[in-house]
Amino acid sequence: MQSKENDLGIIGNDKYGFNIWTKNEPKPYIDNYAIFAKKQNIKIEAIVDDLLPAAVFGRSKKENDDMSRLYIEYMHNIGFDKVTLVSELLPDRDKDLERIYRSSGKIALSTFISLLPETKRLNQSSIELNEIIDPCWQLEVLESGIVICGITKYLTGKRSLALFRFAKDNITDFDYLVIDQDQK
Amino acid sequence: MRFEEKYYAKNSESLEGISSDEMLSMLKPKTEKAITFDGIKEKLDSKNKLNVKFGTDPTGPDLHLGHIVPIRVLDLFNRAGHNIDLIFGDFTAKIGDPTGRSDERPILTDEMIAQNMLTFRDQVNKYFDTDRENVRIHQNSLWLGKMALASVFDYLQVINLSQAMQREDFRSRANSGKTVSLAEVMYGAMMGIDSVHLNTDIEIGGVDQLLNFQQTRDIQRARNGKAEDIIMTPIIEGTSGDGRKMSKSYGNYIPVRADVDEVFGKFMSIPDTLIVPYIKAFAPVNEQEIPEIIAAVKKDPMEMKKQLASYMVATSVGEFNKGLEARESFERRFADKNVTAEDAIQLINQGSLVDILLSSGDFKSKSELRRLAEQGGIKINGHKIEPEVLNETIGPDSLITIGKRRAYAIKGE
Repeated sequence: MQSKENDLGIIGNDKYGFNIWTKNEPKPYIDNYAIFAKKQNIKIEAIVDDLLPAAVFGRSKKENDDMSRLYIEYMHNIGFDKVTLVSELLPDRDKDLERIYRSSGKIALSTFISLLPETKRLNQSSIELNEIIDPCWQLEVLESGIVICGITKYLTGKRSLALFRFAKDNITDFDYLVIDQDQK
Repeated sequence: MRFEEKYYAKNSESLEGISSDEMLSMLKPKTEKAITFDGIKEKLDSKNKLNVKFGTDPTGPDLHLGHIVPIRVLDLFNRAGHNIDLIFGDFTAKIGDPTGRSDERPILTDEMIAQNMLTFRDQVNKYFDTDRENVRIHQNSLWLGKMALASVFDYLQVINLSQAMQREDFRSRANSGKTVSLAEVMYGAMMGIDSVHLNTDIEIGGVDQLLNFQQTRDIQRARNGKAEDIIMTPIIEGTSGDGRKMSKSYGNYIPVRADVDEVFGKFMSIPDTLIVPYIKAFAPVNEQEIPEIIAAVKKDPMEMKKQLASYMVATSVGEFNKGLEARESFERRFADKNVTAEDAIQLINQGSLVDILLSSGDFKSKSELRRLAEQGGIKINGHKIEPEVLNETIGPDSLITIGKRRAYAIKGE
């Protein structure tokens, strides 16, 4: 199919994705991504990370399944065309350290520090080593969305801009579009 | 009894049942830093069979004697009846350099890793028999390659990031604008996971691993309620005695694969100041014997150097007489000034004469060789050369003699 740009600079044959982790129950700001997709008449797939929060918060399987179900229903209800859990994309748990280590070689310590929130950046003595897992894991998740789901363009918010800028330097063949999360 | 005879005999003595004080007395000369000797003593006093760990990369390098110092410590523990866990870090080797920018860390296949492990053991076996009972060989991909996200979190949460960043080499690289990756920051934690898996009591390694060992201890303490103790061996100085560590890149090393005459000759080339440090690093001496050894070196350094060289040759081939034969060969060559191409160290004819001689690792610099030539100390096939000749290429099958002690046979075009 011939590529065709619309008035927002969106390539006609791009496949869109939106990446989120199940930290808390779904919040209304997520609606903005679905609204944007509907306005632009584009299909969008949600990649919902149910693995990292389960590890971070030590959730039981039931707690985690409940939270995942909540997200799947919410994302479908607000208009996402497809919802995929990261546990479906990366089903083999025994490869997790390998995934993290592979990404960790791509991330410079200085880059990691720059990705931290300002409060943590100014007080590095309070940071646990397990915090380096987050950017490493996110890089793997973004890449699996591209490779397995065929996503070519992610929608993201301003708060994740630094991570996406960094990811674009390290993962080939994808782009991102920043959406104003706070718009009404 | 002469030095080489006494300590060669001690190489194969069983140390089972010796007291903790006696064991510590043998460990201390080979220790730059311990965390802690009290902890090690307590473990030795428990009379339990201890798990002693040593980790290495399965990259199949050509080892030099600097790598053998911790191996000699393993030998002591094994002869005292303890378990040795020799661990090959194949987990990271199988992933390779994740950036893909370094040719030095290609992804290794299982076959390559198996071959490299054999290469390593083949070299180490000269100084510590890895086929002995109670020597257990591991590949850490067996457990690190099967670790889920939740487990990784559990392990890493006990380490503080700023603590992991304290390493001097990280700081100096950051200060010089070079990159430190998160993979490197994680490395000590992975060593800690290895220790938890193997239930390590004591770990052996170079003193340059200090901060990795501290992370290892933190992880083990959090997981098992007790931390391993550490013996850190010194980074030994190279043969030129200029203060730099023994390293292939500095050309001041003694290859483990070197033949007996080369080993002997390299030991004879060291400055007198290195005799005692090398004895402490390689021979099974105890702390109480050191003053006597220092006195003997002071009295007759040349004789002690010959005995050390003879001991190392004998140990490397497992035959006492080979040490004596190497000494006789050396003395015949140099005392009688009867050097032949057969006696000489062989060098490849590549580049100018100065490049060829520097490749031997016996000389600090081009200016040292220039001085020797100016003094008439360098001969090609018996003819003195002018300093300018150092910059020229030389003919095949030349015999270079330098002073009375050094001879090099140049092979190739």
